[in-house]
Amino acid sequence: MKSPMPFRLKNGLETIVTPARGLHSIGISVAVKCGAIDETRGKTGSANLLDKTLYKTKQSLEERLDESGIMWFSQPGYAFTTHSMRVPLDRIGQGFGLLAELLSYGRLTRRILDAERSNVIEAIASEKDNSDYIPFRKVRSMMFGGRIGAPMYGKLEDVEKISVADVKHIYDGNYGIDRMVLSVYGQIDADKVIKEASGPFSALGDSHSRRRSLQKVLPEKPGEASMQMAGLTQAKFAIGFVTEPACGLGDEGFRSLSAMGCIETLLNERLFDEVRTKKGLAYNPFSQHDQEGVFGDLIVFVGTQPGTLGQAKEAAFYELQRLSDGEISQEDLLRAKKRRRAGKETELDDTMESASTMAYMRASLGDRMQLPDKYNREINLDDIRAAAQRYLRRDRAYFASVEPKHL
Amino acid sequence: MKNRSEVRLGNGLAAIITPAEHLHKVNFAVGVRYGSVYEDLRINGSAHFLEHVLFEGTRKRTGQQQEEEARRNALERNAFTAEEATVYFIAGPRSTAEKSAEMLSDMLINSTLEPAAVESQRGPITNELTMRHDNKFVYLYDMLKPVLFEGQPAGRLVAGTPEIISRITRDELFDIYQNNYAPASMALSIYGGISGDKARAIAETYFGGFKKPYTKKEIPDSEGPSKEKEVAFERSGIAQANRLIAFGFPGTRRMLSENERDLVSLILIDQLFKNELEKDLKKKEGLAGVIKISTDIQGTSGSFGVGIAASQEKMEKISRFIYNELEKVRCAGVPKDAIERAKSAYWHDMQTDLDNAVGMGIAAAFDQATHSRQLSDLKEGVLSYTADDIARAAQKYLDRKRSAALTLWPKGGGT
Repeated sequence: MKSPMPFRLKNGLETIVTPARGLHSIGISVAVKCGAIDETRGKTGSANLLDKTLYKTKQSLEERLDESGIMWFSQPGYAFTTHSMRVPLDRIGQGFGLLAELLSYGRLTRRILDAERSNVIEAIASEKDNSDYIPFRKVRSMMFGGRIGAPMYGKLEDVEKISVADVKHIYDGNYGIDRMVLSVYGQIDADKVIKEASGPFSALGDSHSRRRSLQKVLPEKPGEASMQMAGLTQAKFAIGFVTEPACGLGDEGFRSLSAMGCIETLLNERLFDEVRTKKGLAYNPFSQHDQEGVFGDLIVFVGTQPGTLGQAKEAAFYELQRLSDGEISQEDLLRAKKRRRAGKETELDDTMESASTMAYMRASLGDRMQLPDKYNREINLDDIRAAAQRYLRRDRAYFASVEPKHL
Repeated sequence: MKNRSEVRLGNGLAAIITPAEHLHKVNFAVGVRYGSVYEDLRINGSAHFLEHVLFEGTRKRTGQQQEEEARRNALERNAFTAEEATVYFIAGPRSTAEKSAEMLSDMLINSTLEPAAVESQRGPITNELTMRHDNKFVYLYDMLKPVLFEGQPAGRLVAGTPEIISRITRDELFDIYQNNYAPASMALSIYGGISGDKARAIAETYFGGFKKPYTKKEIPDSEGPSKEKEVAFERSGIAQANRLIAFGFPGTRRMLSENERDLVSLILIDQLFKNELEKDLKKKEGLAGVIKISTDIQGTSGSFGVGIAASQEKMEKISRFIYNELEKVRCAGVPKDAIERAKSAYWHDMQTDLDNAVGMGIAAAFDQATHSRQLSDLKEGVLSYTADDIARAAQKYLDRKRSAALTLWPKGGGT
């Protein structure tokens, strides 16, 4: 990753700019320290509804974004929400103006809230019908329970009851410049950012924040769950392992976190080679390592035929076992590091993605945002083996499967 | 596009070269004019099957060696099969351009289709098909063309069925490979962080030397349904209803010969609906649903579809709203500002997409293989389009009397 330049706008908004030449747009993104963990009991989904309604409480904001040719994307998460835009080079001033306007509160009415609530409820129903998510979601709820175990968009029974005051409460508590990081990426320098962004963002004030430093969510006990669902043709399963969140990590923790990134790459190679190609048990077996501020996990997902569920499960566990037994060569390590570095380098062609990633990292890691990259260069075979042995043991696995139910 | 050049290599293969030297990534893509419309029905799904097997070994490398070499060089390899073409690509950092080209040409020219390699892909493909079946939207989209173009070339399933896949033989795949993967049926696209001179030299070195005879096959245009169709499916275990309202029409071959502006007009309708439909549904009708808009225009067929996921009781009302909105487009009744927004959004999106080496490279290879024409040139004129252009295309191609509605209902009223 290129080194971003940090500074503050006149109103104190923490800003980072990463110049990159030649690209046809700039990416601008604000990471807000606000997510599902900031919701109060019984109000799950209010952070997600806040994000959705922010677009609706300003006069024709989406129409003006379309007219300006600006693409936009918001990503509400458990600890942070990012609001990002891809702005054509001749609309930079407008881009900053519209992003700042999005982040202001506007006037949320019951009618607007109900319309967005209906959409969220339909989206929840749509996701519940998607069988791929079922073992994935189940395994995460087994790992963490509580707010992390529930979907980010909230529990249906809570979403149905959230009021305008609930949404305003979460906005007031979190959406202030003291809890935001603005990241800018592309053909632009700090002077231009100060010139174009200072005015629009000057209207934003501080939050009424009560959040203290992020606390690691403690995991539940490992276990297994099997479910049945009518209408399925495949059997699907997820295997979860608790890793580390970035919050509160020391240097050793960051080494371990970077090692998990390499392990994810190596595990994906082995699942592809062994479970898909050699055994023909799945189309797209994969693992995903998430590090979300207050929790970290690695989840393996496999979809297979109902008659081969047991075989695919053992094949996946066998590959995990090989890693946790330390069957990793120096060549494996160098390859994984090279692939990860190349992936990050080529992602830099996408201005919105780059701005968003950097905003998120700055918000979650502050001055330490370069550490994951640093350790990705420095980690050695001992680090990888230690992390695999520490996190991927079968007796620490959470397992959930869903199979076709025959009526 | 000002920096794009089109060259014919020594063996006649068409190469589209678009240097964008500021990009970190360079993408090599090859479109092969062979997809499900060219298949013998008995082996429907063979083009997609072959696509899988081409990753499984050549005269120079085993499948495992191919995979390891790609990983060592941090290359991203993938492919997809459509009705009229199969596209393969390898993308990576600038420093790996030559390796990408060499590996891509090796798999397209030197694949051996060993019996074991063919067998190794039956399981993954069967799993891919069943995975697609379990995803309700994907399932409806897979059924879309068979319903819209029933009995015509574009009406085949792209990837076949597990039953057909189980009996396609290695020899049948080899025949397809021998007869259809030839310079005259392929188009190479190089896009991204590489100079034009270097790209041309690499293209000639790795793709310009092989020769193979090829007999071009003409496929008739596929026409949409002659009357409005409704097709219902049922599934247990789901709570929402899902519907796809779709229109089928002949593709670019006819559009380019009759009125080129129709093509971009349809793309603008797609953008217009993406911008406005879900918003208007909430604002004007107080209704919510998950809406997905998609347009797919190939050489001999095209489709425009609006997908809806919503509770059962809302489905008819949402559908009526969508048909009404389409009628407004046909009658030039869309507010001018909405059309201007669609034009601006699409045009700016095209500009910023110039930095997307993989997406742009794939589109160029696909266009050249299926139309022998780069559609991005036509799209560059998007700002000149009017409500009348859009209405004319809608009247011609988006006629409800020639549409289909595919609905997946929850069995027994949902769960």
